[in-house]
Amino acid sequence: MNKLEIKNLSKSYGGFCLYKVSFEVKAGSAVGLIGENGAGKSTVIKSVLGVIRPDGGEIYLDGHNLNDNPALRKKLGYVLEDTGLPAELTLKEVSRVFGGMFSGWNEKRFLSLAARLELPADKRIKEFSKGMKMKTAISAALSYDTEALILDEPTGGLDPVARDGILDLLYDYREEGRAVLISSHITSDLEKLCDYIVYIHGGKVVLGGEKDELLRRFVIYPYRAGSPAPGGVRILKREFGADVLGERRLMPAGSEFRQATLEDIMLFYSKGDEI
Amino acid sequence: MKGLLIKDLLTVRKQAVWYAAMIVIFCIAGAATDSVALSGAIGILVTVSVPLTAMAYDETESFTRFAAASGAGAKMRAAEKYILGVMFGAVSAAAHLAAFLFSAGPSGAGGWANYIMPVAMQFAVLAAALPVAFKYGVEKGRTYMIAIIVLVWSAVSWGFFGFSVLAAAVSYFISAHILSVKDL
Repeated sequence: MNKLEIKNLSKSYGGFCLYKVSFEVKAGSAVGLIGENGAGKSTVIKSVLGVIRPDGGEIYLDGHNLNDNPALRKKLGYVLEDTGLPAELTLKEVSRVFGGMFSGWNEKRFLSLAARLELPADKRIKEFSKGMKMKTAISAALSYDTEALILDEPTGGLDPVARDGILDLLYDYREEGRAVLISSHITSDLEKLCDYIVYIHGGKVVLGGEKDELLRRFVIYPYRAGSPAPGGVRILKREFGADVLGERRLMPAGSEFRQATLEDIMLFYSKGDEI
Repeated sequence: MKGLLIKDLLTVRKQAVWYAAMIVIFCIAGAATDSVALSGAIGILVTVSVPLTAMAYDETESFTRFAAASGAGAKMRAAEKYILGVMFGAVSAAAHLAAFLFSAGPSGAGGWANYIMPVAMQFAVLAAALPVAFKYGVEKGRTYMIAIIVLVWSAVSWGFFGFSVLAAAVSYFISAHILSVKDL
């Protein structure tokens, strides 16, 4: 069952155009949005959260159109790239504020998550590092009644240990049958957490599907000038020579290649040329 | 709404202490010198400054976006800033009333108008300032607000001047007509 469904989402402003972006996030799954800076990931997330008004398209939560039922957005937990936390307040004060903003706010859970992530209770948010602010925002998003979690670059600025801790929390959330939509440049995090990947380039979805299938589908091998590129989809010129992103199923038997990562796929689709 | 209001009250609490001290000082000075314009003026300043300060924090912290994403509608987010202004406006109006009653009070020249005018003005300025701040942001909004006040003031002054010239002309023709038909 689809928990969150985005249909033909469009938005244009300042020379940028998000064009008919569509994808679903199933209950109990996580979808990773990847793409370069300015590709449109944040525009998708802001549209889902109602921060910006899309020019067209629909967003459904549990089958209900959010345009017709904006109050349903209260069922979305979220973490914004710049967190938006009240900088002058301490964690306890933030909890008081959020208690008045979010239904089912669980102060005990918020403070215990904050303690688990080693956040100082007596300091003001403005004294926190970027990573600490992000941990606070994630603790908050996990401390009230939500059906889906929308995260924009939540692991940016976090060290690998903290990132691992956050991914564990998100994994648990997903396992409870709820949905996660996450945008990140740290593709290794998405490889760990996500079931599906949506790659946005220039405001359009250019590649999407099950993460494992995508990773199984693509391989990388060095291109040799003058020779054909078997199974090749994209070619990326390097300083010395070039590499090819190819389809594993089209590779000749016995040929040498390595498994492509999400980062490779993103790199080849953004910087490489079509074969 | 409750959460947004708590956020603003906690955020501006330091400034609120200063504003409270200024209200007390200006009201005492006003009552002591029989010049309630002082307590009226501070009322206008406080009523407008508190919500604008809260909005400035919202902008700096990107809390505006955070609040919008929480499902709090535009009407609720706008209303909260008006309520904040009215809350502080009510406190300064009460202090202004005390200063007014301790000075000449309603028996002085101008009577209750000396009390009501500044209070009406503080809510009128709040009503004018908030839409501008929502549209252009607090920093730009402040500049535009000053420009609007100067333009409106000029327009009113010149408009009134024009009206008085026109009124004098109309008045002349009425007087001439009265004289022409009057048996002397």
